[in-house]
Amino acid sequence: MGGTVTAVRPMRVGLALLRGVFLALFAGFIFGPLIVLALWSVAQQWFWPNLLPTSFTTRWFEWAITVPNVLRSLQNSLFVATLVTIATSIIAVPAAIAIGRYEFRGRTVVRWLFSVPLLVPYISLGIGIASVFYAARLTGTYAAVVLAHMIAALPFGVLIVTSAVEELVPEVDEAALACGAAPTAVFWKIILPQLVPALLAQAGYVFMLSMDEFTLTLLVASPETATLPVQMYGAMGEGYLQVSSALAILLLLPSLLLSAVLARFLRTDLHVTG
Amino acid sequence: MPQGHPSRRYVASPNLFWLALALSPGLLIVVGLVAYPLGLAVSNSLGLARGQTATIAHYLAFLSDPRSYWALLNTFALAFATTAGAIILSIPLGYLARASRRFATPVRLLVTLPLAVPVLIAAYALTLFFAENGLFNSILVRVLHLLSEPLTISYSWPGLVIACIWRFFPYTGLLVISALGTLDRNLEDAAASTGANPLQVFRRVTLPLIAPAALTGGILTFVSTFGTFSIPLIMGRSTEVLSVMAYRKVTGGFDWQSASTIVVIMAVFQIATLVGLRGAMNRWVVR
Amino acid sequence: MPSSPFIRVERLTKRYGAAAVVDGISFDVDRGELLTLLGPSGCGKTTTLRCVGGFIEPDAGRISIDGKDMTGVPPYRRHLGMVFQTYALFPHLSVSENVGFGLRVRGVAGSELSSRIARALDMVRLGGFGDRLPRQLSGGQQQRVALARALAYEPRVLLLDEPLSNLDARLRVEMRTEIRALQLQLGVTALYVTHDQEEALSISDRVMVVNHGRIEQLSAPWELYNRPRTRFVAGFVGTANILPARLEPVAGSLTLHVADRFFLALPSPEGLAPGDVWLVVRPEAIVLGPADAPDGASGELVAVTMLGAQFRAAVRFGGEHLVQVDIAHGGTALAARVGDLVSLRFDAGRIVMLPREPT
Ligand SMILES: Nc1ncnc2c1ncn2[C@@H]1O[C@H](COP(=O)(O)OP(=O)(O)OP(=O)(O)O)[C@@H](O)[C@H]1O
Ligand SMILES: [Mg+2]
Repeated sequence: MGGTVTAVRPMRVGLALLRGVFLALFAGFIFGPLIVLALWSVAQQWFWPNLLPTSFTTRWFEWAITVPNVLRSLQNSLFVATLVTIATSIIAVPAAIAIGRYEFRGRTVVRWLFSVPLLVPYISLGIGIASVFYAARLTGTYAAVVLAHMIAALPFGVLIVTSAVEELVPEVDEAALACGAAPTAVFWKIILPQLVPALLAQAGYVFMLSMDEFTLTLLVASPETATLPVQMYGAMGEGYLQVSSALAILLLLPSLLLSAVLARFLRTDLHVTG
Repeated sequence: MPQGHPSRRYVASPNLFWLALALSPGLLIVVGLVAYPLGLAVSNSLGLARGQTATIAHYLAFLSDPRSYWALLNTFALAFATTAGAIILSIPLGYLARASRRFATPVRLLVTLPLAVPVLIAAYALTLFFAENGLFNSILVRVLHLLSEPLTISYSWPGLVIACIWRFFPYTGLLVISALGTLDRNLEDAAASTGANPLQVFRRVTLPLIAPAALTGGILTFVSTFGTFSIPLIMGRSTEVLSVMAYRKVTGGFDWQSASTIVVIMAVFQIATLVGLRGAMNRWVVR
Repeated sequence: MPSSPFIRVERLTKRYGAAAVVDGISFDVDRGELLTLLGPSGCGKTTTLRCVGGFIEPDAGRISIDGKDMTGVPPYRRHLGMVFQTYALFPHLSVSENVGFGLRVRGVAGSELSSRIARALDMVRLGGFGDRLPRQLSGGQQQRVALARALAYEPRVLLLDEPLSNLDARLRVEMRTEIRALQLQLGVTALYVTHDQEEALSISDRVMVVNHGRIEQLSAPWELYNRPRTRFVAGFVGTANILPARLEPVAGSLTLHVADRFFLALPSPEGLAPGDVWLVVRPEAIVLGPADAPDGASGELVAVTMLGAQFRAAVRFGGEHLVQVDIAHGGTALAARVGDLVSLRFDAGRIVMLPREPT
């Protein structure tokens, strides 16, 4: 009896210690790369065998936002993301309401069609449209970049809004009808207002996706229409370690911020597919 | 997918005109910019683009080039290794998250974080972190004195797998953690009360119960890794995978036919894998 | 009560697939009356109510309200109030905006709007909660908002579909009294759906028992309980002992032979014919006595359960029949132990006989 008790104690302590160490190692694995990136973006000097940079500077950020072609790619990114967000909302929201609310022949097929872009490898989508745009002499135009981003964004836009529409309680519409509101009034006063959080989440998600998009953009953009991630890839290729780190941080921070906000709106399963 | 509301009713469609108006722009994009290009890629790969007769020459060329089947092998190996790594990493995280509420939130936040990082940036950050003179090696060699020489991780095959795990394991992790968290612990206690040791409880009770979640998440991780481009583009110096190979065919001489062949092969393999795994999973769940 | 049919339902039928969920139901509801639809799950109560509300198009039959045919009239032109089991409050609107919704779509605005909202909220004792959102209220409060919303624009008919089934037992009793008081005060005609027979008996002017889409009985609560007309109603409303029995001619009169065990003299056998019947007797219409009592049947006491206001004994007699009997607090029968032999005396004035197919 006493033997069991004394045997259990050290085991408990050992287990707690093991858990702590595992969590710490895991946190190191997740945070480590991001910390290094942040350090590089402000490092003046950082040479082996120093553990940390020996002097710091904000020069790389100044560089990043003053160098003309970086500035232009930032403008491109914002311009493209804004257009993509507006266009995707205009297209995805009515489609999602139709799919999530109405019963019609071929509903399942339509639903499935909208998720086709998620079923094939991303690079296949990229090579596919790149060759079409190349043949149509669209390569390098803003239209090509915006359309490419819309392909990537559309499945998520439709998915986010559809699932919000499907969460609507049908009795609530009926209650409004019983109160004497005609169907159009029910749509504008009852259905649409309930969807506002999902519409915002959709717009935020699509905006972020467009800002971060790299693969398709690399395939269809020209140096004039390149977005920030493509610009960053260029800087990496040229070996400007600190500048590309600063660019990466510039791109990463809004992304993290928006994700934190969206996490409140998006259900986990969507987050997982995203 | 949304879980159905118990009283879920779809409203009978109001008017075909409005319905068509709502759906057609989206469908136009899907058909015109996804289905059509993919179809074009298929016809390109068959050499139909220039009005010639169908030929499987491009596929034969692909298969007779050792470089391409190594790339195919690499792509699959990378996706499988990453998926396996994701599942292996997720299970202890799941146990950790449910062990105490103190752990649950930090684990969840840590697991979600990589999802918010653009893939390109993730690849770059990991390259820097695991570089030969990077922070990881500094800590191992200079601080902990565990090694005398730095490890070569960045740009190596294991580095590629680690980077893919970092960015793509959360799909598996979130599902496994939530499956373990919602698992009825009485089942495990009941198994233990019949005399099963912890390992047996895990193998006979816990693992089968979380397997569907692990597989569903695993499929997402697999697909993401299989099609990934940014990570091998930056990290895969020594290892060529199909996506990068297709890209290089285009940039190095606008060889759309070879590029199309590669991406068609990728799409076919991915869909076959998805269908196969779905089938395996259904059989497993039914049993 | 002025007694003109206000809602008239004639041969209402609704099918899903081959099955008629509502199978030719006809009934009237008088002006100011509260009629309850009572029945087991899936019997078609909601379907009937939603047909009256205009949410479901019937396959056959006619519904008229205040003399006007409602066929093809959409719900928003029927001027009804509806209360849902799930409350169905507008989640994005405040309590005041919920209650004022029906007024607003009718063009009421300004000070009249706010005073009528305030009046409706006071009516359900929620004055001061107007600025809250529905999710900031308890279930009972949400239920009151739903009621206020349905009554604020003074509809001519109030439809309620199991409005209390999401509340806990105590609140349910409290709320049903409140709903009934409001309905009487406003004089609104009400159609009320429930599967809780006690609720139905306590608040209704009349109760309509429905089974498999057909009306089993439509009568006032007292009659429903004391004069069930079908075996289903006898078993569904309240607790009843239902025993096989036979009316037999004895000495020029009729006697009831119960479960082949004992005879029960009938006080007024006029109008009855010999034959097989079901004997329906409530637990409170049986008296439990000592085994050596002069008349009645004898049986074995199997269990005694405390119900609060009284005890309920289960007595097995005739081998297979288990009879429920009420025992008052302080009754002498409480001295009996489980396993003892006891006697049962049926109150012949409170029994009901229903036709039975001979076995
Ligand atoms: N839209 C529908 N399609 C097919 N069957 C339906 C539909 N609506 C109702 N039913 C069926 O009709 C029957 C009656 O349904 P109804 O909702 O009227 O029952 P109810 O008496 O209100 O039951 P409950 O007490 O469970 O609410 C049920 O068997 C139900 O499954
Ligand atoms: Mg119902």
